[in-house]
Amino acid sequence: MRNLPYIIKFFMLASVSLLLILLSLMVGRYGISFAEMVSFFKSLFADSVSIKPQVSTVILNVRLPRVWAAFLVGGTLSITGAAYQGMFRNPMVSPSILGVSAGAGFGAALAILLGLNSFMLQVSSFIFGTGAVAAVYAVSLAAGKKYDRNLTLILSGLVVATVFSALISILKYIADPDDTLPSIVYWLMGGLSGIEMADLRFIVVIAAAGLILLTMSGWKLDMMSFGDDEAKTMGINVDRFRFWVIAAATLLTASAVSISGIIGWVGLLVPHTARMLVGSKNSVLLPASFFTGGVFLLIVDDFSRTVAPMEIPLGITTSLIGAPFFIFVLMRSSKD
Amino acid sequence: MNIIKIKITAFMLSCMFFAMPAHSRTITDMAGRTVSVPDKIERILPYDSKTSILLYPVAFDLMAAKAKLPGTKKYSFIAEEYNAMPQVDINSTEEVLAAAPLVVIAGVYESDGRFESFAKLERLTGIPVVVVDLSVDKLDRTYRFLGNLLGRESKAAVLIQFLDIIYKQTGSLIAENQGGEKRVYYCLGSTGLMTDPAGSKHTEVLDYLQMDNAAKIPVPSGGHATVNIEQILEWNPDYILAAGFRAERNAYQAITSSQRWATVNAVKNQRVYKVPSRPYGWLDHPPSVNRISGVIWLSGIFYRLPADIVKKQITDFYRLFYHYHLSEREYKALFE
Repeated sequence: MRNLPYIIKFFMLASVSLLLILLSLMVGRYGISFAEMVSFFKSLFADSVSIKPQVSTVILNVRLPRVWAAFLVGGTLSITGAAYQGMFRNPMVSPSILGVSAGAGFGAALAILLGLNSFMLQVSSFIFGTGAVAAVYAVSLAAGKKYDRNLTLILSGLVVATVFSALISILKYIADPDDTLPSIVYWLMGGLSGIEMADLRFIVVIAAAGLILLTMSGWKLDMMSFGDDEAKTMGINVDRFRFWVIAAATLLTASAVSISGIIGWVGLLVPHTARMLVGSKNSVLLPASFFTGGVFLLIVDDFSRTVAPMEIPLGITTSLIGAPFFIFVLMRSSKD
Repeated sequence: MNIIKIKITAFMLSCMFFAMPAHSRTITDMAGRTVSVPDKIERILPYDSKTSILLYPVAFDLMAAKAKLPGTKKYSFIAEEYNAMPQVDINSTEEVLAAAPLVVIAGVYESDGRFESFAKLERLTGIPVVVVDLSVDKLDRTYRFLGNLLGRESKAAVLIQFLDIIYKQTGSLIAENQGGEKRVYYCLGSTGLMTDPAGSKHTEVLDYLQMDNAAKIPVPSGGHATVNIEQILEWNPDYILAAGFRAERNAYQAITSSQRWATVNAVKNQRVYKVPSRPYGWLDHPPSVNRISGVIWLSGIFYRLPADIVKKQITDFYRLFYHYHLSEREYKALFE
């Protein structure tokens, strides 16, 4: 597998993605027979074919936005995870390392507590998510001149994330246990149950831009992996580049988290899976992570919304499905 | 030496004297527990917010405090004296002791087994805890018990008389209206996707009215479950009751204006209702005597109890149980 040309690998990844998107549209709690499914697809091209209104509601208004959301969120989290792992030269780094999830979680919890609508909830979690990273960046600039920049960034991220976690706990503590608290808890466990097409306008643009820009600067990330000094001798303005990677990654993660809630695992493990598939050259690894992550979260979300009448939060399914999946990939790739 | 002995004995005797209530009697509370209480109970404390509402109409002047319902600052459509009453958090032993009640009264359901926490409170404070039943169909018995316990037989009799009318009326309405459309989906929160499934004590009113809770799924420990919209389309309920414990978080708007809900039977037939929430929710939040107003209101919706009777009984209920006179305008405002 590893020796196939990149172009064929990407063709395979893209086909798998497309196939899974189509398959995901066919599964769900609302029973749609295969015949109804076929006539639905026919009706898209021919007006003469009539279908039950429920069928088109379910497919177009319920499943389609959700399938897209799962794919985009998974892809976005994975590509930022891969970029961070390259930049920080650390395999244990995930997109939330600089506090974006904790900040976004606080923003969302605050919005729920204040009774804001779902659009304002997204705005609030986006603002606090990016705000948290801005704070981390400022702290690392102010405090860590003597030390390694990566180290001070990660430590500041830990500190800011801890503060926001404490703030979330306060909000949970004062929230109404009958109504507000379950909403906050549910949001923090991650899920896509309420998603509508309109919620995706923002993340589509951000994800597309991020995918292109990060992939184009992949070679710089390769240089960074040799160390700051090495990268400088290659003519890279290390500090400025680091700033732009963090800015892009933060926008990507915050826009994903603001619609999906907090989803762990994906950004940490999918990049490793992608690395096993295509190697560690960033200009290939980053887009590969995007597609692998999209496919992974799509599968996981299909489970979340179909196996039980109750929604299973994505934070739970990603871990339960992700762990064996990762072990499987690990074993397969060590056989080659 | 002798003097010290005498002093100690005197001290112990005086302790016993102060610790022992003047006269005490042993009663069996509604959970079958044996409790020793003072002969004359002049100061009581409700264990939680649901017990507060239960006690208010029968023993307002005996209440040392009310319990806080999180998320609520001021209660409307209830007598001002209720708002003015101090609040005590039962989890703070010192606050309980400072309130100095002779008895703590705790409302529970038959299914509840959490008497451990009551025993612990008794151990910590030395104040007896009397358990009463909160089941929506047995509140007449509960008020009879409270009337006897607190020496408020005549006050209780008025409430019991009102409850008996409602119970009889509901019984005959159910008997007259067998069959028909019965599936009800009860949701809370702003998206309409959080529900209290069948068997949850939060939807006891539906069980009592012999309606069919559409959400037949396992009851999570908190009582609330998040489901996805496809699942609701599959259940296809005939009625939707949208509760928002805070008005701005009601899902009514989202449900009636969204394409995704449009094919649900209840939405097509315009049978989506906002559950009134002031001063307390009509179906729940908390599950106490406030649910009687829900029983009356839903008798109108499910069993066509004439609107003028509904209005008269609701107004009577507010007068008797909340000591509040509802004006014509306020009655309308309840449903907005």
